[in-house]
Amino acid sequence: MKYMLSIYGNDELWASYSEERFASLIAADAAFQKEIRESGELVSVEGLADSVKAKTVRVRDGLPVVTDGPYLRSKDYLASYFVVDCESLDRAIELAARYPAARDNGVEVRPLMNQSGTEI
Amino acid sequence: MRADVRIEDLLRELAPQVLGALIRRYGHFDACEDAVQEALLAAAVQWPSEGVPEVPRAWLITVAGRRLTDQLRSEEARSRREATVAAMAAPEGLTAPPPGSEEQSPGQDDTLTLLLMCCHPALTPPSQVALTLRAVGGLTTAEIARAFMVPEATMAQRISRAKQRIKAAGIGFRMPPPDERAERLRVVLHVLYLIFNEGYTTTSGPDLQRTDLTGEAIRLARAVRRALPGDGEVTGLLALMLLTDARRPARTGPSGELIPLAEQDRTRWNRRSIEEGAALLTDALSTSALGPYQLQAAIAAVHDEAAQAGDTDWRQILGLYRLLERVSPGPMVTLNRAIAVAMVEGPHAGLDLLATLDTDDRLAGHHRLHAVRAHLLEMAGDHEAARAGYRTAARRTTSLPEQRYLEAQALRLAEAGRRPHSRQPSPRRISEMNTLKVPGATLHYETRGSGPVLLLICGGIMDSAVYGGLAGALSDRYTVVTYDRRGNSRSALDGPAEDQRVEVHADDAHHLLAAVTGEPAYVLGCSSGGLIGLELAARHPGQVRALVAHEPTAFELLPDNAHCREFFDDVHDTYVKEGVGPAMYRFGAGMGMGDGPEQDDQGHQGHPDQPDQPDQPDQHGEPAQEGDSGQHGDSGQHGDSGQHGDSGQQHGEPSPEMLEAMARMERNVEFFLAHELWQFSRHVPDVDTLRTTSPRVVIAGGDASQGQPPHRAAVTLAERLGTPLVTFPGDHGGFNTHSAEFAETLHKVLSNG
Repeated sequence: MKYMLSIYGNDELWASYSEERFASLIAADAAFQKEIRESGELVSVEGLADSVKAKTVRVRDGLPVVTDGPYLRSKDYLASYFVVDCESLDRAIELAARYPAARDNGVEVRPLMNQSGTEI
Repeated sequence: MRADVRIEDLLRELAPQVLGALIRRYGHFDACEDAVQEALLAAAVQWPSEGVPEVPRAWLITVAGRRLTDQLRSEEARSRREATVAAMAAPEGLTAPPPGSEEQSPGQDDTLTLLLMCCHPALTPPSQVALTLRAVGGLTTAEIARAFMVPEATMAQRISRAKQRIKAAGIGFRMPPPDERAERLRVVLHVLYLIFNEGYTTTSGPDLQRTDLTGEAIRLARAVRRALPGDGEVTGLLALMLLTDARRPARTGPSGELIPLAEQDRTRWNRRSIEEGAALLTDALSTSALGPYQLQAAIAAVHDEAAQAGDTDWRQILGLYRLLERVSPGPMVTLNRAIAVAMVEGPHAGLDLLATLDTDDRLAGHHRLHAVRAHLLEMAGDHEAARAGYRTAARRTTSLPEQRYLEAQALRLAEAGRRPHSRQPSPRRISEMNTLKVPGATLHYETRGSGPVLLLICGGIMDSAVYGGLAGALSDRYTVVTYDRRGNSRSALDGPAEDQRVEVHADDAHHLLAAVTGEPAYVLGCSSGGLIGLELAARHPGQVRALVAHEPTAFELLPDNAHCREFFDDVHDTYVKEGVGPAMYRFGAGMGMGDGPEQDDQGHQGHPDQPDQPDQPDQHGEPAQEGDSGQHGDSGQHGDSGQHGDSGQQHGEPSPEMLEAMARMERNVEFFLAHELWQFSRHVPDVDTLRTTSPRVVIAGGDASQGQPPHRAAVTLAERLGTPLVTFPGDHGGFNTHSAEFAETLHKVLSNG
């Protein structure tokens, strides 16, 4: 089963980090990535640019209207995500719990849809 | 020389034998496995050109042995150990017991021993599956990665981690002790069943190669059975796989939609698999103790034996589920038993049984519990609760095909529930359905409204339903006649499917007009329907009062017709060689209609999961909005199936009729590719006759489709006929997406005659 682990956060939180804390988070992230890569569970991982780089596009009356900033108007926004392919939801939750961001804010775990299907 | 396919089969058969021989000689499962893969690769490259060696197994063992010693030597050098390769006798416990009884048939025993090793309980199921497919199945890492839709690097890591784990745990190449054997074999069978299901549950699309996994699982199950012919559960699993796989051709529709067991076309089931599975099952049941695989196979066999869903012996199935629940209890078994109970004792008895599962944590929130309950509630006549249940289930499944199926069920009930309260249908919405026998086919046609006859001819994969909106808007002024062209939807050919000719379709229209009116009629033909309309006007001028041909696909008239021919040859070749999906993709792309600005309200609803499959011109626009509803199908119909709130269905979600029509049209795609598209593309309209003797002919083009090939063909044809091109609203599919405006333009053009 494939799951997406979404890492959310906000500017206030990240600004509050000390230099040492920031460095330790980066190291913890690298160690986490190495671990799930070597276990054969990592499918993909991407970090997203800061929300100041986000554009939201809406088409109104046939014309695209582009606004600055993320689509969701909340303090927290998506910062990075992992796609993992693992044995079970329990395992995906175990992985999410191990990610450092889970301690400060939260990591969202959601299954990806698949093309398999069983008839009723 | 043998064909490559034979070589591949041979290599896959020999892989575990060669690996077994190597491990027995050297130990080091990890290194041996790599060496065997290299040897298999070398053989796959060399044998087709140089011929298969006399003793292929010996050749592979020699080559793999050489790779292994090379590898071990270089590792030796690296670690600066003193020992030589020759001295690398495997430590005690990592090799098989001294040669003895098992040398009788090393191949089969090795396969089983290897399976037991790869399915060791110390590994996670995904690792067991991956390692089994590589070490025993002889698949490459890339092939396994593709089948499981993960990057190759991910799969390589998984396999390498599994091998490390086997090494670290000191798991040897030997049969487990007798007291562990049954449990270890159970894990092997479970892994094979997992592999089978990965392949079986595949529906369609880019992951079609996953279906190879069912074949691989069946092959491995056969190998285990050869090693353990007396084990009833091994035989039972093989029977279960065969009896289930037999239904695969019928379990999905052309675009991957799930077809429930009760609605499957049972003539498409694989009889040979059913017979083999049933024979194996009989053998197992008569010789061994009962087990869960045998019981599941028996249930599958009862389903397979029913010629029609109504013939299913549910009483027997219920009995088997009761046994299964005793042998191997679990909430899923109870859930399935509830269906059987409902079929035998009525829906309320089934619902009572389901109620006992509500407190089971293992099933809490599982979509299948909600889906089954909804099904039983519907049987019991509680449509409102059933609708809610289908919707809940749809939100909880992670399978797109299941989600679409469940949403369709919810919509069907929602629509049915609205009907009695909805406003009285105006008379013009009522259409009358009829059939007409013509030479070689029986046509389904519909008439609605009153006034002079207006015949609407559709093209491509469309049928009568695509004109629902247009016909509704015009039925106050015309007697609108629509029909399904022969070979499509509800108009069956007398004989087998065969290549179609525009002339014959024009004659069909002629017979149809003759059946409904003695007067000359108005005719609108769109796309290839326009081509048919032109042919009708040329061949039967007395029956046509005026013809509007909207973007008739007269590609032969284009100055670059040689290029067009190449393109249609190519699409046809793609269909023959690669199938429907790739051919439609190529077609859509070549028509330049894949990503135009007008595309976002078309086609996606039927393919929410296939965003890369562009629409093709004749698929433009959805089938009928209900009559005069005034909607243009561009609101709320996008494929974001995850976002349908409970109120979302008010706005433009497809009606059950529409879903039905879409399913019908999907089924026309194959006929279109095999027998119409290429054949019609070579048709040349009779321009001379049309210019001189025919009734009034108006050539029309969409205002949003300029530059696209059908529009260009319309421009050229209008020039050749010396008439101005009349612009209609929308694009190639404007008759559907802009039906109200399209109707007004059409009426204006027709009444200006």
